[in-house]
Amino acid sequence: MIKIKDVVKNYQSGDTVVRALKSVSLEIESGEFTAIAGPSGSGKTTLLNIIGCIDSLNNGTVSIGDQEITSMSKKDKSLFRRKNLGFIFQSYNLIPVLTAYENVAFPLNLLNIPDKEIKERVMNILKEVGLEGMEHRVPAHLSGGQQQRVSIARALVKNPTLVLADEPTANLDSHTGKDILNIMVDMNKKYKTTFIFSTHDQMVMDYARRLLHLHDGEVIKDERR
Amino acid sequence: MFLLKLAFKNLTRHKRRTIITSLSLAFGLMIYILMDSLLIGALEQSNITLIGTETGHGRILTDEAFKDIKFLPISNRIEDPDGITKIAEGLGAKVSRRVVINGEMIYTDDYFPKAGSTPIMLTAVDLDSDNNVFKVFNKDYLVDGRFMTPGENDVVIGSWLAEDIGAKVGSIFTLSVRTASEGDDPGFNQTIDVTVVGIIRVESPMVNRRVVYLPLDVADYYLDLKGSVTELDLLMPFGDNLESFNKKIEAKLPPGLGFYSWREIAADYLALTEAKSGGSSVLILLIIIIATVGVTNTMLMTINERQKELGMMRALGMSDNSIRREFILEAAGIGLIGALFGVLFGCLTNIPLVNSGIDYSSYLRDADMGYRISTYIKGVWNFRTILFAFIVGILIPIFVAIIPTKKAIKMSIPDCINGR
Repeated sequence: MIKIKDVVKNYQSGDTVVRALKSVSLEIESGEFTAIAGPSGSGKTTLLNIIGCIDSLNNGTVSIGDQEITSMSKKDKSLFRRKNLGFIFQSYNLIPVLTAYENVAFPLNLLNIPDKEIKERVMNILKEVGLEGMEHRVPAHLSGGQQQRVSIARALVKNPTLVLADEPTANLDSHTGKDILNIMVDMNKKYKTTFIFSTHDQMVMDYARRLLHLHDGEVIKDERR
Repeated sequence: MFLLKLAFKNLTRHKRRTIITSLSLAFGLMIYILMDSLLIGALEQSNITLIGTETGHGRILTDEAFKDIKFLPISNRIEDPDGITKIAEGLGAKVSRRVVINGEMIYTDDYFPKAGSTPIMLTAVDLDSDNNVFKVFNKDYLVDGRFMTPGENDVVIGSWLAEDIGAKVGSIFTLSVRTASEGDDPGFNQTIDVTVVGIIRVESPMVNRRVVYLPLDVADYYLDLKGSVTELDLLMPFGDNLESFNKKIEAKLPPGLGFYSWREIAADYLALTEAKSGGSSVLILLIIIIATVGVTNTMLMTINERQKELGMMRALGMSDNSIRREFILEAAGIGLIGALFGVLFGCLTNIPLVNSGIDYSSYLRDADMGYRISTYIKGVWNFRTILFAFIVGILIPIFVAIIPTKKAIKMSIPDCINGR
């Protein structure tokens, strides 16, 4: 379970303090498929970054499972992310010089997993996201949708407790976007992995089983379907 | 292993840039190897020439003569050269008797294109003993004519001096020198009419430009030397070193005489060449700094353009330490390529330098650089420098990668991901 309590995040923009999150509190159960929706500047990405322990907060606490992440050191946060979190980015952020296989294997290499096990896990996940036979291609030789599949595979290959996706379909056409969402839904069902993703696309929101509406740094609506 | 593989793949990301950066480093290292080879080569060659044509391993002089060594006065001579020669020979040294004094050469338009005068260094030598110590009267160095005959007013002059004044074999000129002083007798200006019988070209620009060689017995007669000489030049026995030989001979020399090593005699020249080497080191340093700037620029560009990727890697839990190591490995890769090529190019270009050298004769002819070299400067193999260049070539990029890497780690992860 993810517990977010009274989270406040302010940004300094010149002389002005921008309040990105104003005392946000919520709980997300394990295995939930949750979308954070809202217009640009509503604080969705900031909230996602804070849950993903890649951004600091000014006030409040965030716990993932039994770990209170806000009080962790930089090093511990890095270790926590390495073991427990998967990320899917809007612009995929694959390493262009590595093949699809190597990109997916990247998080496992960080965990010092033996090569044999890496191979088994990477080939399995690539098959599940529909990239069987494309493992030797570098990102430049993959379409946007295929690159995002690699990104999903990279996020899931280490069996994380939580996957955070920042506007995962924003750079894709609607058809490919649907494919990607279907894969995410399948993975969520199969592995019971918690998914939290930000979006302002209605089609993406339709896939979510829980929809949090954010506006001006506040949760204004919490819909469960 | 994973980091090494990632670093290697990243190096292939912009192959042209990696190669250009490595080559700029390689060029700097190559110049370093070549300059060092030439500088050490010039110095070693110059020292050998100095010993072989001007100083021997050392010289016995009166203490006063050493004090005034720059002025080469005829006073303060060794009155008993036979006795002192025996002492030196008793220690296994080879000895040459010389009278070396400053003088003037006066020439008329009967034998020369133009009348005039020029300062010279008159060196009166005993040909038999001189060849034991020096390598001047060697037929290989004779450009024209022959060597002097004892008892005759024959002179041998350097080729540059001959060219400067238009002297040829058979030309006659007058030497103006001061005769020996004794007690209250201050000596007087003596003129000696001499005939150029030979023109030599040796490696020493000093000899080629300034020296006039005269038989010792002729100088003895005209300068009223009564068997005395201004110096006894020595070659130590093979295997001996200057320090121990100095101690041995100093213990046997009578008061008022001393043995002065070639380093002491040529102190001014050595100071000059060392200063030149220092100046050249600054030049080498500048070349390496330029190469370093190239590597720094590449590393900064690399980090800036991979900002999003770095953000992703950090988000996925790659530690700061691993990121630092990855960049250092990349930098080391650039350094390794640069060092390998630098050493390779340096060694390949050094081969002709060592074997044939560079012909500096036109430059050395007009510019007195202090070096005792007048034709070819040859390089040497200095494996310590090559190893040093290789290590420095790898270390420079590693060192310059530290600051840009720090910058990358310092940025917040969201800023990295968003490319801010």
